[in-house]
Parts: sequence; structure tokens; C-alpha cells
Amino acid sequence: MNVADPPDDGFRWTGGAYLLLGTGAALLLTGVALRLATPVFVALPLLIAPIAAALAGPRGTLRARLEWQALGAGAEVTVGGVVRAPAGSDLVDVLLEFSTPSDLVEIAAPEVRTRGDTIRFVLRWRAPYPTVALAEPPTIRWRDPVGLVERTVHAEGQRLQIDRYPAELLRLGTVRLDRVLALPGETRSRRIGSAGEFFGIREAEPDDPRRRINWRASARAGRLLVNEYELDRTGDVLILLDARSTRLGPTVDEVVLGASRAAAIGLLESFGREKARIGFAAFGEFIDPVRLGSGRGHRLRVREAIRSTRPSPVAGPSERCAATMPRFFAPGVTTVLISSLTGDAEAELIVYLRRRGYPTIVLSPSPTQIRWGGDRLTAEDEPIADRLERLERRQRLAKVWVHAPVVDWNDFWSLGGFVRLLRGPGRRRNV
Amino acid sequence: MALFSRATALAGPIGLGVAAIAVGGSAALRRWRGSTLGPFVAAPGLGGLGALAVTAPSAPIAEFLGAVAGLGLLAWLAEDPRRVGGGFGRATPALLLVFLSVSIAWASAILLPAGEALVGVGAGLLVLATILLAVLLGRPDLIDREPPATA
Repeated sequence: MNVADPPDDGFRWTGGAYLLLGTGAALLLTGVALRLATPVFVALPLLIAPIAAALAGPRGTLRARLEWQALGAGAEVTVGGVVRAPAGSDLVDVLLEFSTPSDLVEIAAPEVRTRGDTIRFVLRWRAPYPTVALAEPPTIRWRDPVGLVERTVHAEGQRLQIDRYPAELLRLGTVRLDRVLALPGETRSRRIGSAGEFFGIREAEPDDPRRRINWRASARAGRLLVNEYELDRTGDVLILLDARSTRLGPTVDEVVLGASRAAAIGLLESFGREKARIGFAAFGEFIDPVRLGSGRGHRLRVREAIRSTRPSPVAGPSERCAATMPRFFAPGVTTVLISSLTGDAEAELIVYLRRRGYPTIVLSPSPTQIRWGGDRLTAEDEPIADRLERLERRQRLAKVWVHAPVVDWNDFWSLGGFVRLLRGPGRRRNV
Repeated sequence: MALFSRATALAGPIGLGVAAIAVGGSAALRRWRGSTLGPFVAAPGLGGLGALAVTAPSAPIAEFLGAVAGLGLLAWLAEDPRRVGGGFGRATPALLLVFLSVSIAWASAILLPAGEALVGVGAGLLVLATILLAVLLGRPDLIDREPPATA
């Protein structure tokens, strides 16, 4: 069965066409009213040009294929892509219109190069803070050389996911986690990888490290062979995002939650690679959970849940979150709480979680550096206010440390302290 | 447009001045605001063309030069430096169609007696074109057909 063609938008007249038509109509009326022939003849090309441009344009549904990817690391986002036309057609009169995601800032004009049936483009953006952004495909239009008519080109291409979070999170996967399984005993993983119990031998591939080569077996066989290992299934982890609005205002809350989402995605990817069971919950007015699970499909669900989390205008009480958690997540699961800890309500959540039996580690993005950017303080007052804010925050975090380890996330592009805390030997007893 | 200005009733320097301002204005808009205004950079040129057209006498040479000036404006729009070069070449089919229409109308006007009949013929041609345009605006599918499956 053939897939139905997308609805054809047909021709559209641009603003230039209306300008020419309007001027031509005015000249025509003037000529007729004043009984002059010259304005009539001047109006003639202006009135016929849009029709001629439409008649001379391409026919049928215009299609193209879009391939693009995000490159770069850290705050720099470079998007490179190519638009290809079907065989036998060209893209010389095709124009691309790009839209910058709201979390990113354009730092250079798009570079577009057209050559025959391909258009290559490079976009340069910058992420002020860690973020997970979705870039919409560019709008692709054919426009006639004079600029009077245009048509939409239907491009096959997906939205582009752009994840920017601290690189240290990628090393988190080897952290040992507790399991909250109903069945006791060892849980074997079917995944074969680079560490764990010896499983077997296979042919070496170009990207295998030298330390995995089994030299004795290779000498016997006369070709390079590497060891394979059966990975142990690691434990369970729950990522809890505190999405309640704070006294800092919606703008700062959105930025802080954006960084929190990026950190949550980094944790998801890191633990997910090691086949840990991952659960997610966002707490605003109520808890919005994704139960513990593993696998690629589950990671996509969690990723979408993280990406769609927004600051909640109504802040639910902390006890409600802790009381609701056992319905979805078994007590004892290692909980990574991402919360700005700007108020008492956020700090209380940790106490209630501990009472319900959830060992908690807190990652707290600091709103200090975001907050003072827009306030109307004089140049002399701003450093003083900043210092006072930091002292107050330090005192608040010190109180929270009694109940759970806290990482003060000051530099949004670095999470080395958090990784060290998780991988440190004292973590298990502290939580 | 300079040639057209010489055929108008305006005194030489004034006509040339109007033409120069119109052309210079459009060129300046394209140079400094081309990315935001797009085809609206032609507005000064259209204004100058209109001013010269209403001051021109009803003489064959003025009519012809006026139409050619309009064609020239379209050709200038086709060569947008922000787009891939060779726009004039790619716009040739459309511009040729316009040139033919203008030539037919002008030749018809030349062969017919002078006076009101000339204006009537020209107006009639344009009324027909306007009606066609109105039909096409309302029914764009008439000019938008799928190519035959068995070509």
C-alpha cells in the first residue's frame, strides 16, 4: 500500500507579488481615469509578472530529504546538515529558514551553500546553561528568481535532539547501586561487554582496546582474538526532579529547571548504558512518575518525561510527594533529588523522603549566578548581595547535610564533585 | 529608467533626478536592508516608475520605454545577490512571457488608430489579464498540475 502524498500547498504569492500587483492596479486605474496610455503600458509587466512566474515554476509536490546532526561539545552547539533533492531536480531556487530553539542563542549567521541538487548548511548556536533542546527542521521553500511566488518543499527529516550536560556524568555508569527487586539472588544480564565475568572469545575489531586482547588464544589461532565478559546487572536508581515554582520567579525557575533536566538526561544516559533500572518522577503540584525499568524503549519514555517537565505554578506540599512515592517506587531505591533548595519547602522534602525509606543524594543547582544577572543593583551593591546570597545558601545546605549528602552545583558545566560523591567509598553508608 | 525619464514631460534634470532617486533608493535598500525587506526593496523603484509614467505623454516611444523600464525592474529583482547567482537566466522564461505580452499589446496599439481606441485596447488587454489573475488567485490548482505518470 502506498503512503499517501502530503497535501500540496500549491503556489503562494509573496509580499513582492502583492506590491507589484498593487502598483500595477494603481497605474492601470490612473491611466484609465486620466485617459493616458503610458501608465497602462507601465502597469502591464507588473500585472503579468506574477502570473508568468507562477506558470514558469515547478509542478507537482516538491520533496527533499533532510539529514542533520548536532556536533560540538559543552556550551558550543554546531549543527551541520544537508538537504538533498530527488534525482533529476535541483535546489538552486530553494531557500531554508531556520528557527533557533528557545534554550539556545545564535552566535553566527547560518552558512548555507547550494550546489546543484544539495544544500549544505552549518548553524552555530551556544547553550548558556546545560539544556536538552529540540530543534525543529528548517522550513524549506522554493521561490522563483524574481521573488513573486513560492511553494513549500516537503522535507523528510526528524527534529534534532540537542543534549548539553556536563561531560563528567558519562563516567557515572560504573557506580554500584542497590537493587530493590522482589526476587533475591543474582540477576544476570544478557549483555556482553567490556567488564564482568569471563564469557568467551571473539575476533578482534579495529576499535577494541589492546588490553582486551587474549594473547595466548591469538597466538594459537594466528589472528587477534579478544575476551568478552558478561556484564553484571547493576541496581536501581530514581531520578526525582523538584519542579515546584520558587520565590525567585518564573524566569529563574525555568533556567534552573532547564539545567536540572539536562543533568537528569545525563544521569539517564549514563546509568542506562549499564542497564540499571531507572525510574523518574517530577514533583510539582503532584507527582508525575515513570516506574523503574530498563531498555531502550523505557529510556525513551523517561527522556520524553524529563523533556516535558515544566515549572509548576502550584507547589505541592513536600509530604505529599513522600507519601505518594511508595505507590510507584519501592522504598530503598537510591534517589537522586535535583532541587534548587531555595526555600524551606524544598529542604523539607529530603526529610520526608528519608523517613519513608528513600536513601537520597541531592544535586542542587545554584540559582545565584542566574539571579543577579537581571536585578537592578548598583555596581557596588551587586558583589555584596552576591556574597550574602552565597552565605545564606551555604548555611541552608549545611542544614540539609544532616539528612542527606548535598552537592552544590555552582558551575553548571561541571559536575565533578557529584561524580566523586557517587563513586566515593563512603557513599553507601551515608545514604 | 533614465531613457524613460527623457521621454516624459518632466524637464531633463528633474526626470533624471527622479529616476536616479528611485534606482538609488532601491539599490540602497537592497544593500543595507535586503535580508529583512526581501522584494520590498523595489518600492522606491516602483514609486519612481509610477511618477514618470503619469507625467509621460501618450506617445508610442514613451509607452514602449515605460514597459521596458518595468521589465528592467523585474530583471533587477531576479539578480538578488543574497541568492544563488544566475537568477536572470533562471527567470528568463517568465520574463520572456512578460516581454511577449507587452510587445503584443504595444504592437497592437501602434497598428490601431490613435486616440481613445488605443487606451481602450490596452485597458481591455489588462482587464482580461486581471480577470485571469483573479481566477488564478481563487483557483491556484488550475496552474498546479501533477506531471503525467507516464512521461
